[in-house]
Amino acid sequence: MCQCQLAGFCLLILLQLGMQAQTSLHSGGTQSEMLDTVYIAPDTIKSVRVDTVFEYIDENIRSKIMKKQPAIAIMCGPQIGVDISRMYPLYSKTSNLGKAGFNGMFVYNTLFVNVGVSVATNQTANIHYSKHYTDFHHWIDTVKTVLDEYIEIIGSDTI
Amino acid sequence: MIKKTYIPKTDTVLSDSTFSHKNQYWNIQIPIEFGYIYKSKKTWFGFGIGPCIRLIMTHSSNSVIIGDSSFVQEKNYLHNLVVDIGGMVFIKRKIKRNIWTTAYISGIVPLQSNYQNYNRNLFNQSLSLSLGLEYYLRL
Repeated sequence: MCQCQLAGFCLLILLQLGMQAQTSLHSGGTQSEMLDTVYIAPDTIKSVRVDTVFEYIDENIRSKIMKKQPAIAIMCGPQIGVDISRMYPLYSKTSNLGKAGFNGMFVYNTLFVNVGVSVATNQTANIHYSKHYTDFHHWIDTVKTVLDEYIEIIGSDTI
Repeated sequence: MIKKTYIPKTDTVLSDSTFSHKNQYWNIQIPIEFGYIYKSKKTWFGFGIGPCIRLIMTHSSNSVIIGDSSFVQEKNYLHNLVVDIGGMVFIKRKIKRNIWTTAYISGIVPLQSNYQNYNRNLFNQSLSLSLGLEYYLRL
């Protein structure tokens, strides 16, 4: 009697284990990987595969899912303009001739990285000086003037 | 007896001179800027700051005439590769699906552009306004 009860209990355990294994096979990893999950609004008809799982979500959750996608973009193009340059303290200002270049921008949501190449040219105003110099040269010349003088010799002293 | 007399003499020389000077600069600028964009529906506003690599090519030309002699022409070519700080403010407006117009105001604050061969402190500031068309590609 006791052996019959033990055998029945073991059989019950085996049956439960078998059912759990069967349910895990249906909802387990190998089969669910083959399925596609599609988020569509209610009352929407789409042509999908047979193995597609439909998951109906309301609009609020859908809009939140859409907002999570980052907005990544590239903007690039030519540009043309004017360039004001100043060389100080030597030159106060320069005349401006122009600027041309190419600009590229990588945008990630609200942040960006901008890289550009441009050529700018400008020139200083033509400075013109006109000066009048007056140079005074001084020197000293020696003029030799020989004057004859008579010398009176008094006595016998030797000069 | 010999008597020496010293007589000072003065001579005057008059001369004219003219000097003209002109500098011309060519800058190749490569700004790399990081910044923030405020987006409205069809218009973007933004500002950025970052390093700006510049190759400054200076062409200096002097002309000197002294007196009646022929003029002397002096030319100098200087090249400088410098790294400065650049900043910019821009506005972009969408005109078609992928075509945007842009207006940039960018400036360069001299950090390294010091012409030490001219003067100990000679800096090159730059402020530019440029307009352009840009192609928008959403990734």
